[in-house]
Amino acid sequence: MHAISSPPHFRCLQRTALCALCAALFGCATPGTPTVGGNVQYGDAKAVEQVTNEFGSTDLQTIAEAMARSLAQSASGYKTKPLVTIADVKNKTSEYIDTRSITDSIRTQLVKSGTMRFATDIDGMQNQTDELVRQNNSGLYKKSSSIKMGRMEGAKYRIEGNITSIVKRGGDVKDVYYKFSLIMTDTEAGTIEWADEKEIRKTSRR
Amino acid sequence: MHALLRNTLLAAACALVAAPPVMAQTIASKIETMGEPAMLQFTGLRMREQNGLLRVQAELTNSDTAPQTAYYRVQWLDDGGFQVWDDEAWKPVMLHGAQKLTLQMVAPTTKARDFKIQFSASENRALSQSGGTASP
Repeated sequence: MHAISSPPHFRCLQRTALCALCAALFGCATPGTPTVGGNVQYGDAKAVEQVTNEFGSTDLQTIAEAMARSLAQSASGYKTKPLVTIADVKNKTSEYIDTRSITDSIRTQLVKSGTMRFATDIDGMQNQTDELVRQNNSGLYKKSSSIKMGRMEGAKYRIEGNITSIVKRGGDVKDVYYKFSLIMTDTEAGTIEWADEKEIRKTSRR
Repeated sequence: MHALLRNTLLAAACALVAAPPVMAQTIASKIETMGEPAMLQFTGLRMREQNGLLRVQAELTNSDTAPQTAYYRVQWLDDGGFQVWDDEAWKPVMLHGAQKLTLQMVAPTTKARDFKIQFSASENRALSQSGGTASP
Protein backbone atom coordinates (compact mmCIF):
# COMPACT_ATOMS: atom_id res chain seq x y z
CA MET A 1 0.00 0.00 0.00
CA HIS A 2 1.46 3.31 -0.97
CA ALA A 3 1.41 6.31 1.44
CA ILE A 4 -0.45 9.24 -0.03
CA SER A 5 1.88 12.30 -0.14
CA SER A 6 0.64 15.84 -0.82
CA PRO A 7 1.78 17.58 -3.98
CA PRO A 8 4.89 19.86 -3.67
CA HIS A 9 3.04 23.17 -4.22
CA PHE A 10 0.58 22.32 -1.42
CA ARG A 11 3.48 21.56 0.98
CA CYS A 12 5.03 24.94 0.07
CA LEU A 13 1.71 26.65 0.77
CA GLN A 14 1.45 24.85 4.14
CA ARG A 15 4.93 26.05 5.20
CA THR A 16 4.18 29.64 4.12
CA ALA A 17 0.91 29.63 6.08
CA LEU A 18 2.69 28.28 9.16
CA CYS A 19 5.40 30.98 8.91
CA ALA A 20 2.76 33.69 8.51
CA LEU A 21 0.87 32.41 11.57
CA CYS A 22 4.06 32.38 13.68
CA ALA A 23 4.95 35.91 12.55
CA ALA A 24 1.46 37.12 13.46
CA LEU A 25 1.53 35.46 16.90
CA PHE A 26 5.12 36.13 17.94
CA GLY A 27 5.97 39.20 15.84
CA CYS A 28 4.23 41.48 18.40
CA ALA A 29 6.42 40.21 21.30
CA THR A 30 9.50 42.21 22.31
CA PRO A 31 12.43 39.86 22.28
CA GLY A 32 14.83 39.96 25.22
CA THR A 33 12.81 41.81 27.91
CA PRO A 34 12.15 39.79 31.07
CA THR A 35 8.64 41.13 31.61
CA VAL A 36 5.19 39.72 32.17
CA GLY A 37 2.11 41.62 30.99
CA GLY A 38 2.24 45.15 29.62
CA ASN A 39 -0.29 47.35 31.42
CA VAL A 40 2.10 48.78 34.02
CA GLN A 41 4.95 51.16 33.31
CA TYR A 42 7.67 51.75 35.93
CA GLY A 43 8.72 55.38 36.14
CA ASP A 44 11.51 57.41 37.70
CA ALA A 45 10.94 57.73 41.47
CA LYS A 46 13.14 60.85 41.47
CA ALA A 47 11.30 62.61 38.64
CA VAL A 48 9.39 65.85 39.22
CA GLU A 49 5.70 65.10 39.69
CA GLN A 50 3.39 67.60 38.03
CA VAL A 51 0.11 65.66 38.02
CA THR A 52 -1.86 67.92 40.41
CA ASN A 53 -1.04 70.83 42.67
CA GLU A 54 -1.67 68.85 45.85
CA PHE A 55 1.24 67.81 48.05
CA GLY A 56 3.27 65.30 46.05
CA SER A 57 6.35 63.11 45.97
CA THR A 58 8.63 65.90 44.73
CA ASP A 59 7.51 68.15 47.60
CA LEU A 60 8.24 65.37 50.11
CA GLN A 61 11.67 64.71 48.58
CA THR A 62 12.75 68.37 48.35
CA ILE A 63 11.60 69.14 51.90
CA ALA A 64 13.31 66.06 53.35
CA GLU A 65 16.53 66.79 51.47
CA ALA A 66 16.64 70.48 52.39
CA MET A 67 15.97 69.83 56.09
CA ALA A 68 18.40 66.90 56.28
CA ARG A 69 21.21 68.88 54.65
CA SER A 70 20.62 71.85 56.93
CA LEU A 71 20.61 69.61 60.02
CA ALA A 72 23.74 67.77 58.87
CA GLN A 73 25.54 71.05 58.35
CA SER A 74 24.56 72.20 61.83
CA ALA A 75 25.42 68.86 63.47
CA SER A 76 28.85 68.66 61.84
CA GLY A 77 29.85 71.67 63.91
CA TYR A 78 29.21 69.87 67.23
CA LYS A 79 32.12 68.27 69.15
CA THR A 80 30.28 64.93 69.50
CA LYS A 81 27.44 63.54 67.40
CA PRO A 82 24.19 64.86 68.91
CA LEU A 83 21.60 62.29 70.07
CA VAL A 84 18.23 63.31 68.72
CA THR A 85 14.64 62.09 68.75
CA ILE A 86 11.89 62.97 66.30
CA ALA A 87 8.75 64.39 67.87
CA ASP A 88 5.54 65.29 66.11
CA VAL A 89 5.35 67.40 62.93
CA LYS A 90 1.90 68.91 62.81
CA ASN A 91 -0.04 69.11 59.57
CA LYS A 92 -1.77 72.49 59.63
CA THR A 93 -2.84 72.33 56.00
CA SER A 94 -6.28 71.43 54.74
CA GLU A 95 -5.07 68.34 52.89
CA TYR A 96 -3.93 64.94 54.05
CA ILE A 97 -0.11 64.90 54.36
CA ASP A 98 1.76 62.07 56.02
CA THR A 99 4.29 64.14 57.96
CA ARG A 100 5.72 60.96 59.46
CA SER A 101 6.91 60.03 55.97
CA ILE A 102 8.76 63.33 55.66
CA THR A 103 10.52 62.93 59.03
CA ASP A 104 11.33 59.29 58.24
CA SER A 105 13.14 60.45 55.09
CA ILE A 106 14.98 63.15 57.05
CA ARG A 107 16.04 60.59 59.66
CA THR A 108 17.19 58.09 57.02
CA GLN A 109 19.36 60.65 55.28
CA LEU A 110 20.91 61.84 58.53
CA VAL A 111 21.66 58.35 59.80
CA LYS A 112 23.25 57.50 56.43
CA SER A 113 25.35 60.65 56.53
CA GLY A 114 26.64 59.75 60.00
CA THR A 115 26.27 63.29 61.33
CA MET A 116 23.57 62.55 63.92
CA ARG A 117 22.43 59.73 66.19
CA PHE A 118 18.78 58.96 66.73
CA ALA A 119 17.07 57.62 69.82
CA THR A 120 13.83 55.63 69.69
CA ASP A 121 10.91 57.97 69.27
CA ILE A 122 7.45 57.69 70.84
CA ASP A 123 6.05 55.65 67.97
CA GLY A 124 8.83 53.10 68.29
CA MET A 125 8.73 52.85 72.12
CA GLN A 126 6.18 50.03 72.20
CA ASN A 127 8.36 47.78 70.03
CA GLN A 128 11.40 48.80 72.06
CA THR A 129 9.85 47.95 75.45
CA ASP A 130 8.30 44.72 74.08
CA GLU A 131 11.73 43.54 72.98
CA LEU A 132 13.36 44.51 76.30
CA VAL A 133 10.66 42.73 78.31
CA ARG A 134 10.86 39.67 76.06
CA GLN A 135 14.61 39.31 76.54
CA ASN A 136 14.65 40.01 80.27
CA ASN A 137 11.40 38.68 81.72
CA SER A 138 10.51 35.68 79.58
CA GLY A 139 13.22 33.48 81.08
CA LEU A 140 14.14 32.23 77.61
CA TYR A 141 17.37 34.16 77.07
CA LYS A 142 20.87 33.72 78.49
CA LYS A 143 21.37 36.43 81.14
CA SER A 144 25.02 36.84 80.15
CA SER A 145 24.29 37.77 76.52
CA SER A 146 20.83 39.34 76.68
CA ILE A 147 20.42 43.12 76.71
CA LYS A 148 19.84 44.77 80.08
CA MET A 149 16.96 46.98 81.18
CA GLY A 150 17.58 50.52 82.33
CA ARG A 151 20.43 51.20 79.86
CA MET A 152 18.61 53.23 77.24
CA GLU A 153 20.15 56.54 76.23
CA GLY A 154 17.83 59.51 76.37
CA ALA A 155 17.95 61.96 73.51
CA LYS A 156 19.45 65.33 74.32
CA TYR A 157 17.59 67.05 71.47
CA ARG A 158 14.18 66.69 69.91
CA ILE A 159 13.09 67.68 66.41
CA GLU A 160 9.56 68.93 65.81
CA GLY A 161 7.76 71.25 63.46
CA ASN A 162 4.76 71.87 61.31
CA ILE A 163 3.64 72.30 57.73
CA THR A 164 1.20 75.01 56.70
CA SER A 165 -0.30 76.04 53.39
CA ILE A 166 -1.94 79.05 51.80
CA VAL A 167 -4.26 78.35 48.87
CA LYS A 168 -5.43 81.14 46.58
CA ARG A 169 -7.81 80.91 43.63
CA GLY A 170 -8.39 83.58 41.02
CA GLY A 171 -10.01 82.97 37.65
CA ASP A 172 -8.48 79.81 36.31
CA VAL A 173 -5.32 80.07 38.42
CA LYS A 174 -4.80 78.12 41.63
CA ASP A 175 -1.75 78.98 43.70
CA VAL A 176 -0.65 76.79 46.60
CA TYR A 177 2.14 77.86 48.95
CA TYR A 178 3.59 75.38 51.45
CA LYS A 179 5.88 76.23 54.34
CA PHE A 180 7.57 73.42 56.25
CA SER A 181 9.18 74.57 59.52
CA LEU A 182 11.41 72.46 61.69
CA ILE A 183 13.17 73.20 64.98
CA MET A 184 15.62 71.28 67.14
CA THR A 185 15.18 71.90 70.86
CA ASP A 186 17.59 71.07 73.69
CA THR A 187 15.15 69.08 75.84
CA GLU A 188 16.97 69.72 79.13
CA ALA A 189 17.53 73.44 78.66
CA GLY A 190 14.36 74.09 76.67
CA THR A 191 16.31 76.19 74.13
CA ILE A 192 15.97 76.04 70.37
CA GLU A 193 19.38 75.10 68.96
CA TRP A 194 18.51 74.95 65.26
CA ALA A 195 15.63 76.08 63.07
CA ASP A 196 15.00 76.06 59.34
CA GLU A 197 12.12 76.20 56.93
CA LYS A 198 11.42 75.20 53.33
CA GLU A 199 8.96 77.04 51.10
CA ILE A 200 7.31 75.61 48.01
CA ARG A 201 4.98 77.33 45.56
CA LYS A 202 2.89 75.43 43.02
CA THR A 203 0.71 77.20 40.48
CA SER A 204 -1.72 75.50 38.15
CA ARG A 205 -4.13 76.62 35.48
CA ARG A 206 -7.37 74.87 34.74
CA MET B 1 54.83 105.85 21.24
CA HIS B 2 51.98 104.78 18.94
CA ALA B 3 53.47 101.30 18.64
CA LEU B 4 53.76 101.00 22.43
CA LEU B 5 50.14 102.11 22.91
CA ARG B 6 48.95 99.75 20.18
CA ASN B 7 50.84 96.80 21.69
CA THR B 8 49.52 97.55 25.19
CA LEU B 9 45.94 97.68 23.90
CA LEU B 10 46.41 94.44 21.96
CA ALA B 11 47.81 92.66 25.03
CA ALA B 12 44.92 93.87 27.17
CA ALA B 13 42.38 92.73 24.55
CA CYS B 14 44.00 89.28 24.37
CA ALA B 15 43.91 88.94 28.15
CA LEU B 16 40.19 89.83 28.19
CA VAL B 17 39.39 87.33 25.44
CA ALA B 18 41.50 84.55 27.00
CA ALA B 19 40.00 84.66 30.53
CA PRO B 20 36.31 83.75 29.92
CA PRO B 21 36.89 80.52 27.90
CA VAL B 22 39.14 79.08 30.64
CA MET B 23 36.56 79.82 33.33
CA ALA B 24 33.73 78.55 31.08
CA GLN B 25 35.65 75.31 30.56
CA THR B 26 35.96 74.77 34.32
CA ILE B 27 32.23 75.36 34.86
CA ALA B 28 31.27 73.13 31.90
CA SER B 29 33.33 70.25 33.30
CA LYS B 30 31.12 70.25 36.42
CA ILE B 31 27.76 70.46 34.61
CA GLU B 32 26.03 67.61 32.79
CA THR B 33 23.19 69.00 30.67
CA MET B 34 20.43 66.94 29.11
CA GLY B 35 20.31 68.61 25.70
CA GLU B 36 21.51 72.17 25.11
CA PRO B 37 19.58 74.76 27.18
CA ALA B 38 18.31 77.52 24.91
CA MET B 39 18.05 80.41 27.41
CA LEU B 40 19.73 79.23 30.60
CA GLN B 41 23.41 78.96 31.35
CA PHE B 42 25.66 78.59 34.34
CA THR B 43 27.69 81.76 34.72
CA GLY B 44 29.38 81.07 38.04
CA LEU B 45 30.41 78.20 40.26
CA ARG B 46 31.90 78.33 43.77
CA MET B 47 32.86 75.54 46.10
CA ARG B 48 34.05 75.58 49.69
CA GLU B 49 34.26 73.23 52.64
CA GLN B 50 32.48 74.00 55.89
CA ASN B 51 32.77 71.66 58.90
CA GLY B 52 33.82 68.82 56.61
CA LEU B 53 30.85 69.21 54.27
CA LEU B 54 31.17 70.58 50.75
CA ARG B 55 29.12 73.68 49.91
CA VAL B 56 28.48 74.62 46.29
CA GLN B 57 26.95 77.79 44.92
CA ALA B 58 26.04 77.79 41.24
CA GLU B 59 24.89 80.93 39.46
CA LEU B 60 22.26 80.34 36.81
CA THR B 61 21.37 83.10 34.34
CA ASN B 62 18.24 83.47 32.23
CA SER B 63 19.10 85.28 29.02
CA ASP B 64 15.45 85.42 27.97
CA THR B 65 12.89 88.03 29.07
CA ALA B 66 10.28 85.30 29.66
CA PRO B 67 10.31 83.01 32.73
CA GLN B 68 12.15 79.74 32.28
CA THR B 69 11.88 76.49 34.19
CA ALA B 70 14.57 73.90 34.68
CA TYR B 71 15.39 70.88 36.80
CA TYR B 72 18.64 70.01 38.51
CA ARG B 73 20.24 67.62 40.93
CA VAL B 74 23.76 66.97 42.15
CA GLN B 75 25.91 63.87 41.95
CA TRP B 76 28.34 63.78 44.87
CA LEU B 77 31.67 62.10 44.15
CA ASP B 78 34.79 61.26 46.10
CA ASP B 79 38.37 62.05 45.01
CA GLY B 80 38.39 59.13 42.60
CA GLY B 81 35.14 60.12 40.86
CA PHE B 82 33.14 57.39 42.62
CA GLN B 83 29.56 58.34 43.46
CA VAL B 84 29.22 58.43 47.26
CA TRP B 85 25.49 59.12 47.61
CA ASP B 86 22.32 57.80 45.97
CA ASP B 87 20.77 59.72 43.08
CA GLU B 88 19.03 62.78 44.46
CA ALA B 89 15.50 63.80 43.51
CA TRP B 90 15.23 66.27 40.63
CA LYS B 91 14.52 69.75 41.93
CA PRO B 92 12.41 72.19 39.88
CA VAL B 93 13.60 75.77 39.63
CA MET B 94 11.99 78.79 38.01
CA LEU B 95 13.83 81.88 36.81
CA HIS B 96 12.07 85.14 36.06
CA GLY B 97 13.03 87.00 32.89
CA ALA B 98 16.69 88.05 32.89
CA GLN B 99 17.15 86.74 36.45
CA LYS B 100 20.41 85.49 37.94
CA LEU B 101 19.68 82.81 40.50
CA THR B 102 22.13 81.26 42.92
CA LEU B 103 21.54 77.58 43.58
CA GLN B 104 22.79 76.51 47.00
CA MET B 105 23.88 72.91 47.43
CA VAL B 106 25.28 71.17 50.50
CA ALA B 107 26.86 67.73 50.40
CA PRO B 108 25.02 65.03 52.34
CA THR B 109 28.17 63.33 53.58
CA THR B 110 31.75 64.22 54.49
CA LYS B 111 32.88 61.55 51.98
CA ALA B 112 31.88 63.90 49.12
CA ARG B 113 34.96 65.70 47.80
CA ASP B 114 33.72 66.55 44.30
CA PHE B 115 30.41 67.04 42.52
CA LYS B 116 28.64 67.14 39.17
CA ILE B 117 25.44 69.08 38.54
CA GLN B 118 22.90 67.33 36.31
CA PHE B 119 20.75 69.93 34.58
CA SER B 120 17.73 69.83 32.31
CA ALA B 121 16.05 72.95 30.95
CA SER B 122 12.46 72.96 29.71
CA GLU B 123 13.55 74.70 26.53
CA ASN B 124 16.46 73.18 24.69
CA ARG B 125 18.23 74.41 21.59
CA ALA B 126 18.84 71.13 19.80
CA LEU B 127 15.59 69.29 20.42
CA SER B 128 12.84 71.93 20.61
CA GLN B 129 10.89 73.12 17.58
CA SER B 130 8.53 75.69 19.02
CA GLY B 131 8.19 74.74 22.64
CA GLY B 132 9.72 72.65 25.39
CA THR B 133 10.90 69.10 25.58
CA ALA B 134 9.87 66.37 28.00
CA SER B 135 10.89 67.26 31.55
CA PRO B 136 12.41 64.74 34.00
